Parts: sequence; C-alpha cells; structure tokens
Amino acid sequence: MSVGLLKPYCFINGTQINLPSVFREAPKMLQSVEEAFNGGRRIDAKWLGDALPDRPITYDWMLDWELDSEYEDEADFLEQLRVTPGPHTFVYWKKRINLWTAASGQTGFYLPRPDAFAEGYSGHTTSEWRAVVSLDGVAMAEEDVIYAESVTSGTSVDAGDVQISETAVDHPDSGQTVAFFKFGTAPGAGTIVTVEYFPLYQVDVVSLDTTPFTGQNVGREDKSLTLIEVA
Amino acid sequence: MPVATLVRYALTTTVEKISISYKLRVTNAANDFIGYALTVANGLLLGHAPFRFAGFRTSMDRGTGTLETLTGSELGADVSVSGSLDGFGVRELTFSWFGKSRIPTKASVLRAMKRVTLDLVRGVPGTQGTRRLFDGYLRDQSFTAGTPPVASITAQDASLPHSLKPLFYSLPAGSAWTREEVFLDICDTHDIPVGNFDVPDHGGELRKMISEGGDRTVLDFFKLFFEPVGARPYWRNGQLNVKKFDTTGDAVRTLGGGDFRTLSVAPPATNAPNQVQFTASVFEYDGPTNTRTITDTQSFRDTYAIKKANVRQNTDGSIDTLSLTSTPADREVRRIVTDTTYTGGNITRRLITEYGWYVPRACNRRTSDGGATTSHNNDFAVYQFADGSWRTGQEETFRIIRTTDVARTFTEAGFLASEVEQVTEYYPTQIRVGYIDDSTGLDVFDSDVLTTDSGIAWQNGQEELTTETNTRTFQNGPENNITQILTSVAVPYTLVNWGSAEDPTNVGVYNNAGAFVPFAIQLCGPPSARVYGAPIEWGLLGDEIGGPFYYGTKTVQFTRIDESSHNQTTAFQLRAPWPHINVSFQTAPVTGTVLVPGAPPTLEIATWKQQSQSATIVLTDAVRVALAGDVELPEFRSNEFCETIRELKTAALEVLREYAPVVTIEMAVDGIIEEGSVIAVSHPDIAYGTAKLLVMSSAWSIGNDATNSQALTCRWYPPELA
Repeated sequence: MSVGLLKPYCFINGTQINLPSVFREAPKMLQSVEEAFNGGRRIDAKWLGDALPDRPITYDWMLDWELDSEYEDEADFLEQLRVTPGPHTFVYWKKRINLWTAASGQTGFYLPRPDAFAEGYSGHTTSEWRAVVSLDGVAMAEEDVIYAESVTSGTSVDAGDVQISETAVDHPDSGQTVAFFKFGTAPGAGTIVTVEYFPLYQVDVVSLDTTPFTGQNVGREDKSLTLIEVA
Repeated sequence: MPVATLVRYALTTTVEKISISYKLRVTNAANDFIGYALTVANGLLLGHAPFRFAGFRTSMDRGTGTLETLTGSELGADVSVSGSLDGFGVRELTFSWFGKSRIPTKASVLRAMKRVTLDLVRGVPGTQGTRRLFDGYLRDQSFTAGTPPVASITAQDASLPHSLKPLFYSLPAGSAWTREEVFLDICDTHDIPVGNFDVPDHGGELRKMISEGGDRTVLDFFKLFFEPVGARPYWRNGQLNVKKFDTTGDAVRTLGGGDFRTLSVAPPATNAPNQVQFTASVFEYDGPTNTRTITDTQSFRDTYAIKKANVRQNTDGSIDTLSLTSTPADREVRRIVTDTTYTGGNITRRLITEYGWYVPRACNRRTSDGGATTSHNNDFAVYQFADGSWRTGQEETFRIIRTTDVARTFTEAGFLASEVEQVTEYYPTQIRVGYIDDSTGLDVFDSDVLTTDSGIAWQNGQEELTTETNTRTFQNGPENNITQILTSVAVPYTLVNWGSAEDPTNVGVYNNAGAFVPFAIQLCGPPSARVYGAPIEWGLLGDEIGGPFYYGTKTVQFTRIDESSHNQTTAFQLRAPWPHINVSFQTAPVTGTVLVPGAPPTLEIATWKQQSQSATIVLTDAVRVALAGDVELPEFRSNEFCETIRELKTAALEVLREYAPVVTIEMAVDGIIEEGSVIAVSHPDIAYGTAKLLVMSSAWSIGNDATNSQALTCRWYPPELA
C-alpha cells in the first residue's frame, strides 16, 4: 500500500492537472450505528448490490488552488469544468484497497470503481501501476492478474488467474460504474479478497468557489473545487 | 393433470432454522390438499452480527412485461414497506424513482398497474440472503418536476387487482360445505390466486345460505367470513392465504435486550370494554366433526306408596307370610333422561331412559329332570305381591324400566337414510314355571324362553328388560318417488289370547333360532289343583303372555303423480306368522293404494334446515373487570356468518383480544419477523420470564446510509385471553 500521493498531479476527464497545495479527500462510510436497548452497538452497512466490497464507502474531495497569471491553463480548465455537466472521470495516484469476503463458489466480483491502469494514462502503464490482488493476504503473482478488454460472468478464466475488465459497466443493482473481475478458481467461502489499485472515480462538481478579488490580490484567483463521487 | 403450486423460499445459509408448514395444493376434480412441512434454513436471521448489511432490491415491470431491477442510482434512498393483519392483510410499498421520464404525462408506465417486487437483503460479508417483502402492483404515484425530478410511488401487494372486486356468490342453505371449500370456490370464480389455508377443521361447516349480490367486495367478505373461526386473510407471495393466528406456536425469534432499540407497552384504557356480548343467529349443533351430547332430565314427583310383597316362597318351597308396611309419601315417581347426540349438525342418537318403581317378576316354580317332576323354585326365594305376581324382591326399587334408543344414519348429502329404534322395557307377563317339553328341554332357568327377535324376556327364572327393534330405512327413487320401509313393526299387533285347548299339540312358540317349538301343554285349573308333571303347566288359559311379539315389514311407497297429488301404496308382511295360535289384533293394517293430495312427503330429515336462532354469548375478561372495580363494560358485536355457539365464542374471544395490551417494538430490520409472527421477548425489565407476542403489523424502512428500522405492533395475550 502506498503512503501518500505518488504523483503531484491528477487527471480529470483525461486532462492532467497539477494538484493544488491543499487537497482534501473525505471518505464517507455508508453505514449507521445501531444502538440496542441494552446499550450494545452494531454497524449496519448499506448493501448496494451483489459482489461489491464488504464496506461501502463513497468519497468527496476539496481542491483549493491559488492561481495567478502563471496558471492560466489550470484556470481555464477549471472554468471549463464548472460549466460542463458530469459525470467526470477523476483519478489521482493514491492507491486504494477494497476488500471482499468470498461466498461459497463465488468467482466474480466488482471493483466499485474502474481500474485507472486500464485507461493507460501516460506514465502509468508500467507494472507498478497495476492492481495487486491478494487472497487472505497473499498477493497473486503479477502474471496471474490479467487485464482483459471485457470480462463477464461468462468469461472463461484459467485456473489460478484473475481477469480484470478494462470496460466499465453499470452494476446491475446499484447502477454505479464498476469493473468486473473474475477468478479462474473460486477463492472459497470466507476467503478475504483484497485489491489494491488506483480507482477511476466518477465525479461531479458541487461547487467551484472563487475567492473575492481584493486589492492586494490583484492578479490572483484562488479557486476552491468541491467534487463528489456520483454514480 | 394435477397442477402444483410450488413454494419457493430464498435461502443462502444455515445460521438459524425456521419451521414452515406449507400445503401443496393439487388442483383436480376433488380440489384436494396435500399437507407437508418443511424445515428450512433461513439466512437472514443475523441479528447478532456486529457488522451486517441492510439493503433491498426493487424490480418493476417498466412496460416490457418482465420484471427489471431498478438500480440504486434510479431510486431514492428511503424505501418502506408496511403490512398488517387488520383489514384483509395487505402490504404497501413506498419509494421514490428519479428521472425525467417518470412524468406520467409522457410515460404511461406510471399510470399502469405494473408489477413491483422488493426483496430485502440482509446478511454479513460473504453471506447475504434475500427475502421477498413485497410483491404487488403500482397504485399511486405523484411526479414532481424538481431537481432532481422524482416520482413518489406507492404500491400495494397482489390484493390490489382484487381489492375492489364485488362478490357475487350464492350457496344454498344446508350445503355442509366447509369454509375452505367456499374460500376456494370464491377465489376460483373470482380469479384470485390461492396460497395456504391453515384453519382447524377446514374452517368449519356451513349450514347457512350465502347470498352475495355485489354489495361488498370479496376481500371484505372474507374478513367477516373468517371472523367466527378466529382466522384472518392475508396476502403473501402474490397469493391470498387464510390462517388462524395465535400465540400457541413456537416463536420465530426470541428478542433479548440487544435485539431491539425500544419497547413500549400500552395496556387498554381502564374504561375500555372488558366484556363482549356477541350476538348471531346460530344453530344448536357444534360443527362438522364435533359430536355433542346434551342430557335433559325431567323428574316427576307424587305421593306414592312403594309396593311390597305379601308372602315369600323360600328355596325349600315353604311359604312365609310377610308383614311389610308401605306408607304413601312424596317421592320421585318418574324420571325421564334424554341424551341427544348431535354429529355434524344432525341428531344421530337419542336415548330416552325412563325410571320408575318396579321389581322384576320371577318364576315361582321349575321343572327338573327333564320335566319328570315339577317343583318350586329352588334357586332363589321369590315374593308374591298383592296382584298375585311373583317377583325377585320383596319391594319395588327405583330403577330403569324402559329405554328408547333411536340411532340415525345419514347419506353423504345429509339426508336421513335409516332410523333404528330399540325399545327396551319390562313386559309385565308372568311365566310361572319354565319348561318346554321338546327334545332340547328348554328351561327358563337356563335358556332363552319367549324371546323377541333380539331380546330376552326371561332368563334364569327372572324377568329381564326386553328389547324391541324397529328399523326404518328410506330409499329415494327417481322424480321424488320415495319408498319407506319399516321393519319389525310391532306396535299394531298385540297378542291378547293364545293357546288351543282343543289341540295342544299344535301350540307353541318360536325360539331364538326361529324354530317352532310346540308346547306339550296341559292347561290346569287353579293353582291348588294343578298337577305337576308331564305334560307340565305353562300357563293358564287366558293368560296374556305379553307382547308385542309379532313382527312384520311394512312398505309404504309414495309415487309422485304431479305437483298436487301422489299415490301412497302400503303393503304389510308378517315376518314370523304364528299359524297355530289363535291371535287377535288390536288394529288391522291398512294396505293398498290411496290417492293423497299434495306432493310426496319429504322423508329426508335435514336437521340443518332447522331455523337458526338468535343467541348471544357474553364473554367477560374477569381480570379486567376486577381491575375496573367490578364494573362490567360491555361491547356489543355481531357477525352474520357465525354458525354455531362455538364460533360465537371464538368470535367473542377475538374481540376481547383486541383489547389486549399492545406492545410496540422498534428494532433493526431482521428479515424474519413479519405480521403474523409469534415472537418472544426475554428481558428482566420487561417480563418475568419470556413473553410471547403476536405481531399484528410490521413496518420496515431502510434509509440513507443503511439506517433501517422495523416497527412491530404486537399484542400480548394475558393468561385469561391466551
């Protein structure tokens, strides 16, 4: 698992843009706390659909840019983003981990977001950007994790391999944009399946605030972009 | 070809088990049911897991004719389902559906009664189960063209297409159909899918007529129709079911303090009714499989002196004079006990037992050595009363002197098929000594003498109760022609004289085997001059040996001529003629054919055609009456579909149960408990021990971020109402 951002830039709709000095992400766990009569507490997590990760999480981001005349391209891009309806694709180079508990006989799973490696972003096509799939904490060999143009439940996968679909699909239950991956050999009931990868988020703009123009800041245009993950 | 309705239950795990009893309906000419039970593993009872999923999958017919999943992206976060046993047991689903295309002015799908299903998903990572909480149709929707545009939708379960159907149905009185048969028939004729019918005794038999001309809906009818047996209709899996819900079954789940958020208990108001006076027109019988016997006793008193003997003949032949006094006193002189047995609404037996003062007669003489000598009764002492008769005891005792036992059989259609009457009584006839000089040497002390066709008049020298059997059978012919056959007709023919002094060799009786036994008889003079020996004394000329001893078969045929007349043809055949005995008859049988006005008589005795009578059951919750300071607070109810007293009681009890304490529980959705479930609550703050509750209604809701709730409205039946 990587620590911190591996690159100081991100891609929005495929356009590389430098990350601002302040980049905040706010994971939101889709769950509630159930408090019982005896004071006991339990977690009720939202079930979003079959074969999705055990813990449903969604993300919000806030990116605060301090822009001056040297950043006209970024300013233009953000203005363009403001007026363009989403969803937009958004990727930044921080690995995420998702976790599943396999059911008996289960071979197919959904990555809750498509794998950005499959998009072939410039500079991110080497093996270090590939997903790492582990079974009960033991990583599968790189050659056993195969990216395929399209993987469905009917796809034949060799035993010992796992295929990750490069084509994003809508999840049949949740409707979210996801990527299917399938094992050639069922991991077995209760096996913990983890995937470390760079997600390709589906986002939209909630706000793009501009700081007031003041005398001492002539020539500056600070922008605060709030993105939320959308289906 | 039988068609089975299969039961499917979605399961994925074996965490806990739930027993389910289903009936497999086989549709054939007989509309039979085959009952079977399943024990299935339910994968949703995971209420103890510290981390669990809560979600749902909604599917709808978008106009293609098939169910398609409505994805989470299309749906609002909040969805709720509610169900109740009240009314006719419907469930409702509400949810929001996003999108511009949901506007009904552009899309007809939301104006159509499209099918909608909702499956609850519950479980833990790696193990999720689904349970169908809702299966119904779109009912109401409103579209708001806001941001985002959204349609708010309410759907109703499979009752929706049927909820307003008017009932057109008629059933003649005395059908003997069960409620189950009527339920199936109505559902069949009104195209209502049927699930399970789980009511004891098939819901009981019907004698009342049903005449529904569309003034009420089918479902409203069923609610009233099953009230007398404490059952309720409810919808599940697209089918209409009927069940008697109570707390006697096993709890589907026991809730501890960690399984619910809040629990409230609301006892009835102190001024709520604590007594139910339930009135209905009912018949006096108890139902199809329940045999009931009612005993009625009538006693008559009068001033009566117990008759006592004047002399006693001892076993050595000596005679002792007795000086017994008899004082008139007020005492019971007659008692008539009538036991009437009802089976399936028909009187199948009536036993009338009459008591009076009597002491049986006895032989004072006997023969010995094959009739070589005739001597006194050396077996037991006998007593002579003032009327000259010899008796077995010195005074009368209060005893059974006559029984009349009438047993009836009925055809499957409920018509009377036969009636057998057995009359058992004493015939006060004296046999002074018993010996018949035939090769078998019958002796009243040892064998049957002077028997009727099925009874024994005397045995071992003592008079016994003698049984007469009269049988009536009915044969229903074509076109209302009816033949009534009466056998063992005894009453009209009574021997009042017997014997032939001129030709004693041709006088005799028929023994039990039906063989003619001639008497070797010598008629004797007064007792003092009698000659003992062969031929022996049998009786005195002019003695009545009692009766009735003659039997015959009387056939009466009613032949329909037209609506206003019929022929009645009577024939009579003596079964056992006594050709050698001079007999005279009190009455002579009328035979031949006579023309009788009117249609042939209706011989079938359909007791369900008796008029039902208004009855009121008063059922009191004595505990609550006491808690109310001994004040009875009655509530008056009625139900036209009550058939019996028992159903009246059941209906009244259900009303009292409506005032049982209401327990409301709020808990997380568990996917197990639903309306109609029996649950148990075990917590020291709530009850001493485990309290069993009947869930009357349940409301499920799942909202944003997996907030979920299940609100249960339950009733707790205190011991007096359980």
